[in-house]
Amino acid sequence: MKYNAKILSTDNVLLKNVGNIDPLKIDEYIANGGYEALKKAVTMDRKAIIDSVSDSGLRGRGGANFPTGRKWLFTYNATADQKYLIINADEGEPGTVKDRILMEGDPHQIIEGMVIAAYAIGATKGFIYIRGEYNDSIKTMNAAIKQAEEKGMLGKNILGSGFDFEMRVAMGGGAYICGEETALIDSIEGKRGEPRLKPPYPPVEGLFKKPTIVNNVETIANVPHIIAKGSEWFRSLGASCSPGTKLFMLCGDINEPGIVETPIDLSFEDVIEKFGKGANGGEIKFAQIGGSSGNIFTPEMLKKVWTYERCCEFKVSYGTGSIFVCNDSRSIVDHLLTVAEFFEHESCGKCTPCREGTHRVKQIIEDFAFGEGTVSDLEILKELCLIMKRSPICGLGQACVNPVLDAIEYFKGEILAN
Amino acid sequence: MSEMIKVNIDGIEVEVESGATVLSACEKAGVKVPVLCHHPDLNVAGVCRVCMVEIEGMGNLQASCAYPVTQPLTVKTKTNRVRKARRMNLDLVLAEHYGDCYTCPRNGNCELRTLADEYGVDKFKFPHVDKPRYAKDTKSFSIIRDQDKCIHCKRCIRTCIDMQKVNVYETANKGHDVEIQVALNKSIADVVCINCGQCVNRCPTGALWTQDVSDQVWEDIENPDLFVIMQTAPSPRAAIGEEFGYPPGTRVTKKLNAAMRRAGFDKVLDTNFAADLTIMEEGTELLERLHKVIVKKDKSVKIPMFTSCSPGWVKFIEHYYPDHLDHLSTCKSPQQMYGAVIKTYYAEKIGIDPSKIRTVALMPCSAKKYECNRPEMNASGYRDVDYGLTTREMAMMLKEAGLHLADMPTEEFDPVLGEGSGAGMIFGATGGVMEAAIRTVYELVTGRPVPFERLNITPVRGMEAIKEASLKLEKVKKEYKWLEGVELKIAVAHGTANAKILMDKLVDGTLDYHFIEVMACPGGCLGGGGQPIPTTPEIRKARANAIYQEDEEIEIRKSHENPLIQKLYKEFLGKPGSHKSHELLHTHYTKRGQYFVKD
Amino acid sequence: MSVNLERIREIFSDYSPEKGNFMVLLHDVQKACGNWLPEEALMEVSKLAKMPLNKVYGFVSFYTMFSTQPRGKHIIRVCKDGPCAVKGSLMLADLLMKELDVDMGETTDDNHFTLEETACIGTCTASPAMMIDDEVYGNVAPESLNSILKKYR
Repeated sequence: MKYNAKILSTDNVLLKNVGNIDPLKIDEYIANGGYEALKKAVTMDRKAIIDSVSDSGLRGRGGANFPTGRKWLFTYNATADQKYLIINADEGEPGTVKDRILMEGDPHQIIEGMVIAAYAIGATKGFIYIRGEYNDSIKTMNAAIKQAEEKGMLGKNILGSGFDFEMRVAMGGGAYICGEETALIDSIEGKRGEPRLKPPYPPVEGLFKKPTIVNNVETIANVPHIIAKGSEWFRSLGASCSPGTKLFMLCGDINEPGIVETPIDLSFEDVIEKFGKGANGGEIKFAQIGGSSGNIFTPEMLKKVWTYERCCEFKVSYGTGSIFVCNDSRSIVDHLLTVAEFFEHESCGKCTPCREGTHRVKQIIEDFAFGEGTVSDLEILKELCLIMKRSPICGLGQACVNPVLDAIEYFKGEILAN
Repeated sequence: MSEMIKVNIDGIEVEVESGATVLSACEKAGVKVPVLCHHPDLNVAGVCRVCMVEIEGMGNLQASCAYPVTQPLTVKTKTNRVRKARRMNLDLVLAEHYGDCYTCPRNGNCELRTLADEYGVDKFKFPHVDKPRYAKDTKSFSIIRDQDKCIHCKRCIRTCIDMQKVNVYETANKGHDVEIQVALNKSIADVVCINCGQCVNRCPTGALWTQDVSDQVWEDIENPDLFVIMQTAPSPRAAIGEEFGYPPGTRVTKKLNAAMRRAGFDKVLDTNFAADLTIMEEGTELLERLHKVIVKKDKSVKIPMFTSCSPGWVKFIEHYYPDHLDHLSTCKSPQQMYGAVIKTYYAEKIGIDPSKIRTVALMPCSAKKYECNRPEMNASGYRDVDYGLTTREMAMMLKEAGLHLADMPTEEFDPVLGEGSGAGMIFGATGGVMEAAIRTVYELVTGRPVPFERLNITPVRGMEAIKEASLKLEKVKKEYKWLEGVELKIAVAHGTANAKILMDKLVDGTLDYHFIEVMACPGGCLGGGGQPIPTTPEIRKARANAIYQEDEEIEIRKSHENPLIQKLYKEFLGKPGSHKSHELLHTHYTKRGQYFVKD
Repeated sequence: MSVNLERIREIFSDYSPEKGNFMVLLHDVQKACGNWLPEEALMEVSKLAKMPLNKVYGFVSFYTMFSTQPRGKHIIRVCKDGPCAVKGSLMLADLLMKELDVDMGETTDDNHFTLEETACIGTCTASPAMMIDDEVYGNVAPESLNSILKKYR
């Protein structure tokens, strides 16, 4: 069976072709305006492309929200005999299916974005790192790469521009941590996917020690549209501080699970009600946004429009954009235990606070699940989480305690009553 | 020189080179930051997260050992955030660290325990592991592992892979299941381990140790039927004082002689004597090889010749360059030569049945344990050497017997085979074997002493990774006419990573030397895997100084001038390279290969 | 089973670190060896990739999709993460354990199926989800389980 998430929104940019064209036929992509942006891009000054992306205000869609144009500029400015572009398709955050849908539904949109980005930063080699479990994505991307090569959109002298770009699929092997960009890079190099110490950062020293840009699938899918329609158009979508559309995935206790593309100008509650037809099985108790390491949002918080600016102000993130709804029959402790077990297994195990911390977090939550947790256990848990937030090597260790800290804040009574 | 950058550490301003770590800036400022995974000999890991500091302008704490200074920084090392994070990370490590401190070989010298003490860890915050989870790996003759004490600092991995270019350890699994394992989760005895023990020297806890044979030695000492003979190598003598509170580089040879006699050893001999014997044999072998290559054009004879005193190095080449074993000198190491001579010539001299003799070697080395157990090491009909003791084991034995070096008188070695020359002494430092060999070979060939002030061949001394020198042989004696005008090219490498550089050149056919000394350990034997812990570049330098000082004070400084050696050849062996020498003092090697994995 | 070293050499004839294809090739080797990586296979990979055995082992043990223990002909992976957990993946796992008479991580006596837990397989809008070999199954209802398994028997 091929998995297709239901597309719930209608006025789509990135999802426009998904389900409407045959992903394995490049001509259908081209007939729908595909590769026009690339044709335009190869006539443009490389710096002008980066400026255009910077002006658009596009931020990374993998969860970290780093301005894409600014990232590109680091590698553009670096001098090296070889630069790389890597697309991160190691989509591992539970609740997140967007990269899969984009790859399996419209692979050429990603390839087009990659070639434009590679041209802009001067990378002649690129990888799309797809998680090993995504067999259909791997097949589709491989087929699409072959077609693009045949059409002259990839390979030597692309569209007569003199620019060469070679692109391959790299595979994951079942490790969530490889979504972290330096772990991903090590994984491509044939190593254990353990995050590197930073600095140096990949745009300066990445794959095989060369300047490397790592972008998320959704991020790169935006690029052809920005080049084709201009940064002004992109800025006209959504809030001024977080322009463009964002893909959100509705899952859990929801009437209509599926994927939604929308500018960030409506609240999560609206997304849930308008597209997902509301929660099922009861009232919403909470939603975890952005995967296992995402923040827990109370119904109150879901009512707000979470622009990038507001997220910064409240120190939360919508991460990958998954919206995992839990109704009021769900136990917060059970949910935390699932999350904690996930991280105990998915920590790479390199640094102390994450390797041991995730284990101890799980242990304490387990105590609460068995009704054996105490007030002082909760205090230790909180202290541990706060330290895990600021002392591990990478973002996994820092972010994996978000739901626990949020739960302690919003559901302390329930946890202690367990 | 790169740009200097200002760093403010707790209000103290220092300047460091761009790219230096925050930790090094802290050291410069005299601010102590606790470290666990950091080691001065190793690459940065940044994994234990104990050396956390606050850097102004950064939200998260940073590991000072890993953070490079590339712009002016303001660093705080004592804030509450820092203290709490350090303590928490220690708590987390401690909770997973199983083992009774009392029964641990590192009791009293454990970095983890010291940190727990200094950082006020006063209770187990988390349920403490209370029973062993792993079987100890005690199969190897040299290295034993107790994974229950492992704290995942990865020092052993970095030592093995990066520093020594041996590939025994690696991190296995993921998440909380992470373990430091040897390939395929085998015993360390069954993989490509060269037994150098450098991992033991750098382990912060008791997770790695050497196979302890001191109990068997005690048994034999007490057995009235057995005659137990000790031989001591130069390096332990330059280091064992550290175990008794002396500063590194304190020479305690003569006090140690007294202590060992009191411990019950029947004779105490000097391995330097056997080092002189090695020089005679190896020097002769070198000249024979050169003759075959230069005069007879014999393609089957291999040049450069590599020294074979270091059992770690020997096993390294057996595993990693099995097709090049012909380059190794066939000479046994001094330890093994001595054993063979003791159980033949010396046994006869002192009138004791060799079957009643037990030879014990005090060595700086963990690989010597493996070496003395090699099946081929029994030319006399008996094991050449029965036990290899490390410096650490010897110190423990003496402490157990209440023998403290400070209280000991000074005593000489036993006569007959007692003493070695200064040339034998410097075997303990990198370049020493080469220097000793050249002192003899040059004089043998030219009839004149080596043209260096006070015989000190300084180009091969010091801690440089690979040292090279060349020596023109001129006005040679008539029997060495074929060497007239030859520029003798020599090289010295210490640490197997440096040896690997030379070996790779050998494989490529670009290695242009006649004679190469390799020691498996950094600094040579004085940095061996059986030496007192800790080890640092400074400590190794101090030990080297002690060794070179002792050389200068010994009257006889050339192996061939040692009268005891001359006597041994006259009375027993004939001449260097004789049939008897070959039988007793030379050996052969085994092609092991990298994919040698035993079930 | 004996390892087909010739096949591994064939697979690795395309290996180059530059191509970043170590993982891809290792997946192929695992398939060629019957869903797991025996010692002889790892040793051959180590030789061909000129990568020391300890590193090959460290690599393989890191990634959940590889196994150094024998596994069955078909691998069933049940997602255990949040969105699937609330939609009954635990019950699904229980049913599978009962049906196949194995625990999680075990292989059936006839070496036909290995049952494993997996991290999210990106099928979260169709929870509960599982994979059998390369196929994804979403919205798996308890009553449909037998007909799905039948395809693989």
